[in-house]
Amino acid sequence: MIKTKQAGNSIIVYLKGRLDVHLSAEIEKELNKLIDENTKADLIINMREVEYMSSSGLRILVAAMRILKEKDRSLRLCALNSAVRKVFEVVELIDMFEVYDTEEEAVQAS
Amino acid sequence: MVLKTKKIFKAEKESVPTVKKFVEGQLLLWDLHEDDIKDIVLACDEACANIVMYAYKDDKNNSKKNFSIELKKRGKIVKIIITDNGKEFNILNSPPPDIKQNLKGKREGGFGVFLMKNMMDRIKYKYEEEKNIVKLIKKTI
Repeated sequence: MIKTKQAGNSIIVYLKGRLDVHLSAEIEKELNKLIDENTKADLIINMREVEYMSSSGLRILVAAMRILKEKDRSLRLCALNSAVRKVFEVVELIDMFEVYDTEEEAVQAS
Repeated sequence: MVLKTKKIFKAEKESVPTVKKFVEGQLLLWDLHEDDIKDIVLACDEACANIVMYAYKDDKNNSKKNFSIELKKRGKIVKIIITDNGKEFNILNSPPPDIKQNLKGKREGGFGVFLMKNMMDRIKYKYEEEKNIVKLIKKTI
């Protein structure tokens, strides 16, 4: 069960551990449920406790961004560690996402 | 002197974290730089994810749905040889990800192989004796 917190018009989602092929399907399912249940909320994903991400994790985030965009809602990411940030940079997706250093900055951006 | 080690894994999603531990653990023992370890581990993860997701996808009769990872180190060169006996698939022929199509939902993925190619210095592939053999090569710091 993913931990979440309400912050104004946004839901902050706290992911943790490894975003790899092993767990990605379950995480994707939970994220989609959150998006469906909170019909007007933007999503902020706090990645501070995500130690590692492979392309499977990246795929979930791309899909979440796409779904939210289609519903005129936004996705913001915050607190990426250097290894996770590198994955975004290598595939040149870092500029496609709204990325913030801290949760506070991500919340204030809404 | 060549240092080497090898392990066999079941081709299932649950193996991927075990692969990570195995590769990371061995590279730490070989005293590689942290950045090199992260790059190599990610490349191995991506290669293995492809195997567990696709190599045996339509193969219901193959009782040996597994893959092996062999790690070798000679001087500053680290080689990882990943072998499976699933359906023939040359990862080097995978097209790069199309970011726009991904964002439209029209073509998902393609990032895995792209990441592998960027994390390693060279990748070789061959199909021999009904086995896919992928060789990842990195010159370490």
